[in-house]
Amino acid sequence: MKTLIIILIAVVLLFNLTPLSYILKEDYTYSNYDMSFQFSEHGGAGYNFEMGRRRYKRFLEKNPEKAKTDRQLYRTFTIKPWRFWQWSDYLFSGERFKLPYKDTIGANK
Amino acid sequence: MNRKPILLTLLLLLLAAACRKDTTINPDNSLIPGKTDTSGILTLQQVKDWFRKQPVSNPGITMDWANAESIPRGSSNYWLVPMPGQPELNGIKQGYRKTAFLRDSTGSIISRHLDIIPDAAYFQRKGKVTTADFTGRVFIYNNNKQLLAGRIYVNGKQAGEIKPSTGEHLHTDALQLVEDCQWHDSSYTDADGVLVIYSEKICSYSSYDDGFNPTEGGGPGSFGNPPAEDPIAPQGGNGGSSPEPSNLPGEDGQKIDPKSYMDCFGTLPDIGSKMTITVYVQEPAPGLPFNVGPNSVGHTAIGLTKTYNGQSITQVVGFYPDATGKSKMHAPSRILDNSDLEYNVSIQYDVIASSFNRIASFISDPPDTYDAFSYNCTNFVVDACKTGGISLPDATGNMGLMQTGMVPGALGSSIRNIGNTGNTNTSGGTTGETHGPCN
Repeated sequence: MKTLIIILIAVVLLFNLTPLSYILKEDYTYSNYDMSFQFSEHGGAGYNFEMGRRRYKRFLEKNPEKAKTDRQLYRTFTIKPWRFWQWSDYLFSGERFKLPYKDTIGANK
Repeated sequence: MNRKPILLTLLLLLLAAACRKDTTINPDNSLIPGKTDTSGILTLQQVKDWFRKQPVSNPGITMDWANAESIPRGSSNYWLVPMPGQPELNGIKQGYRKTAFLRDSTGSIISRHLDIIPDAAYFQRKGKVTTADFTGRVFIYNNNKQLLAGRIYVNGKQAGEIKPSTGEHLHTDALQLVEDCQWHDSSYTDADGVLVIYSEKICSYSSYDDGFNPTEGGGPGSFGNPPAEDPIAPQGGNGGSSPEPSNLPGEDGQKIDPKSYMDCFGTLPDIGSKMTITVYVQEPAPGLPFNVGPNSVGHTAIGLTKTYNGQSITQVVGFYPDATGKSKMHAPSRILDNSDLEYNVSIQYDVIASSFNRIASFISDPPDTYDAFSYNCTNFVVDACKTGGISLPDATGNMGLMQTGMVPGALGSSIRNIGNTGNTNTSGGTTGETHGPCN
């Protein structure tokens, strides 16, 4: 049993802390209410949640009419807790998962 | 070993990250227009009998009688019966559809189809629709699918009305409260896929809200919530119309036309201009010689700046695979706008016009293929600089999986080894906003 646990932990670490995570991790996506702002992370290549935040802030500055009506940023990806290779994201950068979810099915992108 | 703590931990992890689910929307008994009826209680059987006798205008529609609800209305009632289908507003499927059966002033049964579309932000925030604070639109149709009217609600109060579009754009001449109400045409797609053009009037009453401001008003006729300081913090949205999407460059992370970005430099003359090339590195593990870390594998971007007589144009771009998942390892390439990129180290070079233009030309026509091992973002930047006669510090390092190649981690370490000289920055920062494309 102890060996199995060690193997499981090693697998989780391997998938979370090596370049495998770059391949496997989802490109998290976001939008505002009317989808006039959209942002997609590009796992591990600079396009991260922080960049999305900065861009949305600038977007609101440039579009004050939208800032007045709805400033909320939504995540447009669903949380998939069974994806153990993304557990490090839940653990170390969980802010993106606290955003309210917005379904984009049927949206004209 | 006791397995319970491990299983419990796993269970807690799963629960902590559990998805949010939509809450069932309940009908709102204040949304039915018409006069209060006093012709007695309407039973579901009476409704069914009446419905069976009607000419079938839409054979495809089946009524969900099992979920029919009787809604009290004065001394009488009406029935709300769910219908299949979902309206589409602003390109997004949202809301729900019901048929209301009620008695008119003569006691005869009539039906009205309702498309009920809660405001998306309101629904996200509240999770369900309630009479007290309903925010959204209700469209009312007759049996012939003709739009009769509609209402716009904000926080449970009627804030506007809807009527079929007449094709005119201004209706203010007919209004008594010209200064507080505005008509405008809009559209949505009903549950049958039919585009419905309608006019809606949204009012704000100055007697309740002097100095009306859509975000700061407090009166019943006004909209909105005060803007929060943090745009990310969860907060309620509001009703009203949805503005048209804008297409600012780079907002959506979609690939850009690098040539249209580089063409901007042609608007400034070469003679008399100062030109710089800056290489930005987001290290995988800032300050550490690892090739994977909190920033995953990291990233290398290139910035070009041309300044003439105080006028400056900066473009920061990066080289990416145009794919997701494991396809990212080897895929067609794309160039993305790298404004707002958080970097850990950078190195800057002043160049002459011919070097600058060669680099811009290389970026305008980038290699077609991205390969994580043989041609990634770092290879691209190194090659771009090379065309301009710039030799970057050594970017070769261990890529893992028994591979050696150019990686952001190695380039970052090499720049750090140079130290804080005149053209290096090891304190990091954020790339500013790029100029964007020029047509």
